[in-house]
Amino acid sequence: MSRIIAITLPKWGLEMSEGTVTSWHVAEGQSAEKGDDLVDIETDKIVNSVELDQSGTMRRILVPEGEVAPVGALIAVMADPSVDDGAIDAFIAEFKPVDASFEPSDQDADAQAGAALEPVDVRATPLAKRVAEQTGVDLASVSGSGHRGKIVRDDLAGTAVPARSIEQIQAENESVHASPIARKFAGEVGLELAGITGHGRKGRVSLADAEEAAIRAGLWKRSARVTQHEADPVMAAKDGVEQPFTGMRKSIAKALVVSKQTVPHFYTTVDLRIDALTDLRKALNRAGGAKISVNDFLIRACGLALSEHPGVNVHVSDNMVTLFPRADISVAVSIDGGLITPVLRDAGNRGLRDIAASAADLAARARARELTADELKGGTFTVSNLGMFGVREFDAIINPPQGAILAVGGARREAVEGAAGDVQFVTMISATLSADHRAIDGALAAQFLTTLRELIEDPMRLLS
Amino acid sequence: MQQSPDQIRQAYRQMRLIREFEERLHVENPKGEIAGFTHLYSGQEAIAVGVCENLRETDYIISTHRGHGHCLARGCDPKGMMHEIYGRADGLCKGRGGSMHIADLTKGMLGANGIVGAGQPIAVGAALACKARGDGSVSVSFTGDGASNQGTVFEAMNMAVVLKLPKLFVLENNGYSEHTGASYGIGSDLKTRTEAFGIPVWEADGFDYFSVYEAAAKALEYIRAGNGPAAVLAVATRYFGHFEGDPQNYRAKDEVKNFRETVDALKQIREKVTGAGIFTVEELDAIDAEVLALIDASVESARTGPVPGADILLSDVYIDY
Amino acid sequence: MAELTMRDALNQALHQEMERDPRVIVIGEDVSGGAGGTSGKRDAAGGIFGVTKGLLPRFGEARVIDTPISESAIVGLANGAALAGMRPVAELMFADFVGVSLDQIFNQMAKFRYMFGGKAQTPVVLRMAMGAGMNAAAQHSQTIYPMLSAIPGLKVAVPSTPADAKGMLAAAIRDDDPVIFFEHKALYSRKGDVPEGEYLVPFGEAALLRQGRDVTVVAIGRMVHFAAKAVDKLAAEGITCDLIDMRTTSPIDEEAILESLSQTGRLVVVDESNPICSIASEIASMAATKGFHDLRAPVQKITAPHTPVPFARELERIYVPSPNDIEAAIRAVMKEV
Repeated sequence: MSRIIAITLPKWGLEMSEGTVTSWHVAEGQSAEKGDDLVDIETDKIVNSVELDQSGTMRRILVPEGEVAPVGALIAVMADPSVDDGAIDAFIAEFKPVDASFEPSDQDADAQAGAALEPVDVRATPLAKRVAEQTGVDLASVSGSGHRGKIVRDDLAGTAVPARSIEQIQAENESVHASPIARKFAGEVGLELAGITGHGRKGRVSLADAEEAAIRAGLWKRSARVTQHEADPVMAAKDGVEQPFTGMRKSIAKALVVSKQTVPHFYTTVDLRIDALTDLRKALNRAGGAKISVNDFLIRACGLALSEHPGVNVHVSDNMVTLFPRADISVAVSIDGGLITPVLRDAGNRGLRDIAASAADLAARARARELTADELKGGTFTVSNLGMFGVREFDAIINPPQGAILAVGGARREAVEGAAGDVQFVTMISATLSADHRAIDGALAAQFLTTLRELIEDPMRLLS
Repeated sequence: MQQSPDQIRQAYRQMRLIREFEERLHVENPKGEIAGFTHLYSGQEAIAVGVCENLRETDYIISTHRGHGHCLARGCDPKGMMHEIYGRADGLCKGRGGSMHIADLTKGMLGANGIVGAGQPIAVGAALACKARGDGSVSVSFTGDGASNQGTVFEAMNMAVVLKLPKLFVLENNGYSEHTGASYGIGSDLKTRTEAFGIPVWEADGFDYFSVYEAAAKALEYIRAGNGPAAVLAVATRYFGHFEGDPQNYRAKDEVKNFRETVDALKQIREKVTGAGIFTVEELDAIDAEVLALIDASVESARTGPVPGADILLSDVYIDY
Repeated sequence: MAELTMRDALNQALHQEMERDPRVIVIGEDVSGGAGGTSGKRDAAGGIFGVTKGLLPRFGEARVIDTPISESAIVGLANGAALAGMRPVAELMFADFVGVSLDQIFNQMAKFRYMFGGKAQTPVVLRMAMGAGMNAAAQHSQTIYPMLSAIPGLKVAVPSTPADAKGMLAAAIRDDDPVIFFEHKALYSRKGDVPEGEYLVPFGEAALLRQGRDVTVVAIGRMVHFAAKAVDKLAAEGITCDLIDMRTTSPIDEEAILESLSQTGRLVVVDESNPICSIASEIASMAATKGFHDLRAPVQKITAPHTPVPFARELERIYVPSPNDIEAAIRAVMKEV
């Protein structure tokens, strides 16, 4: 039988993942017997011989002496002389080596090589090299006195040294006992660490020590947050005060940018006469119980209008609309440092006093930052009211994934033509619906606003 | 201690199975398909088989890092073991344990163990269960000369005596505690030491199946009679390194060759049974051929067996989470 | 400066410290090897990973002591010798064998100085090989530095480069407290520049291996190399990281980590250990308690799963945290506004 014998790089022991072929004992064309030494392989621990476990003729040596191959690699092929070269070639081409590497699943074959891990805070040599290059000094003639015996700038003393650079300061800082980040900071601002009293671990110069020294030296100013990459000294107005975003500010910013940039907003405004509503509100509040605000009427009206126009009470995503049977209305509450939108559940099926009590409670707890995450989730529509600030009207940005938001302005007195052609003064508010055009069309928005106006202008309907 | 031809045939087959299993692993291991540590039992076959041929189905054994021989002698499935050694999802331990941690609780095989000397107290615990059950079962631990220097072994021996448990200590002296000779590491000697705990010791020639079988039979008779623990001390050698890849600088060049050519366990049993006319050479060769075919088939299927995935990595840490 | 493997760097430190101080002795199973063997050849092993090779021929049997397999007694031997004035470097082979000798480690050596009124010292170095990646299965692959770092009285070193291995082992030998010295099996053959002559790396001082602005990546042992790969890859995309090699997990250089965090606001911790009560947990807790106001994103912990180390290659490759896992974590903290 003319079997082809694969000679692979052996695995000798746990640690072995590669080996160097040091010498072949059988040349191409030679034959060898079972038990003969075939090849010597060296690892970083041992040199050992591979003993042939069956007889054959050496047909092809694939890894020459002195070369390294991974465990399992095909290093030679043996076969009876009767096997033709084509069959040997085909065998080599089809051979699939074992993957005996020690790397995790997603690694390349060259992963063992790895990245160089020279600590950046001992990078003396590059400076010395640069200085030497600039001054034409032959480094081979200089002996190193620096950390780990490296050649540092000082070793090049007596030669023409260029003006002090950040690199020089960095190199000098290496010999100072400083924390790695303090060293990094000093390198960035050009601070010499020598002579600074350290208050860090075991008298080490800490970042705080370095920062104070840099301020004293006029090299650096403390901003609200030290993030060099964000503070751009050229662009920033000279006397502007940087106020980094708080976590809440960041999430508001993030959500609004996404909404405004990706949701196709359109806006529809309606004027609402609230004279009757104001009279009713006064009467109700005189009767005692939780004080009802104009906004509470609006929430109640929105709840009812949404149940009549469920197409507005929706969540919108890229490829679908979710209609909700219940109007859970997010109520925008302005708090210190931002805006929060707790959800008033089932606004269409709750009485005015109930809504008033809930809204007051949510607003109070929002300001005290006592709301639970659940109370902020799942709204289907938002009401935002800036009426108390005297704003006439405004356009709000939709709160995704909701489909619409109602922006309510402040009450104003306006002259209108009465039924008899006379002039009447009425109290009016404007409400602007921002709607996501992917899900809501103009006609639907108009119908919703019409219903809202009918309810607000005939407020007794809000009592039922 | 007369054994029937069937018993002897079975013993011979088991020894041949261990031998070929291990010799084949020695050839396969350098190819790189088998990962991790492999510690081979070749040379010591008569000890595992001589003891295990005396055991009943309800008895327990616990093994060492050099555990393939004990597993096979106790009846673990060679194919399932081979798949485990190749790290296959359908290996005896789903590819999680490998060569050093083969176990089969359905066979009363409480595991090979990677911690030297850890098995002995565990086997004493199994002996406690045997005693509680009262069915005459015994628990057996295999302990190398190296492990015999662990405090756990001393504690286990004393505990077994104090609690008078049905526990057999099999002391296998293969001459080497990893890369150091047994004579260097053991003060006194294993027999005196064991007897000092109050444990009677039956000595055996670890290359001779019949010698081990008889010693184990006597020790087990003593134990099953309710006398408490006993020990079998058998001396043999391992034909390969501490682990596969061990250059074995500590051994004389021809040491193994000499053992193989003179006292080899397989050679001895063949000579004895053919000499006594129990089996012919041809009959034994037929067994050898059957075993070789089984090993070939096991390696072949293990090489292409199913690869385990994340589900196997993350399950069985607990019963329920 | 010479290019050495971590194995040879450790060996050099042992030679230099034994040369320097006659009280330094090396003890353990097969630290020389071959005693009682039929070849008559001593130094037959030089430690199963070859780290103690050549010590016996140079320093003799009185200072290079092969022991029986008796881990509990090996550590006890070191403890007693240290109390009585020696400076033992004991070897446990695999870190997993701490299990056999734990009492001597955590009830004894760790506590002598404190319990005995500050009058005792136990200058033991306990070396052990750790880590997954070589399919040595559940009882020969663990990274248990978190467990030992939790014990007051022990110092714990986990070098990642040959230079650190040399400098930290020498520092450990000269330290008057017990030091647990972890050597990652997969790093023994890795080469790097190593200073010649006397070289010491102080304990409790992390190394800053890469400088960046966006994320602080803290790693230990072999994970430092994986983290460096991820960090270097992302640097090409403009995401730059401070890469901090902790070097010792007791003491922890809190300052180095918190200072970096104060500049980046984002933290990724990479630890080969199991996740619960890991060093990653410790660093994350430190960020929450001492660096909370600097955090701009949740801390990302990259650890092995909460399972024993599996045997099969395919399983272990999933088990060990990879550079891709680290890269994904860095990207994740960058996504948070």
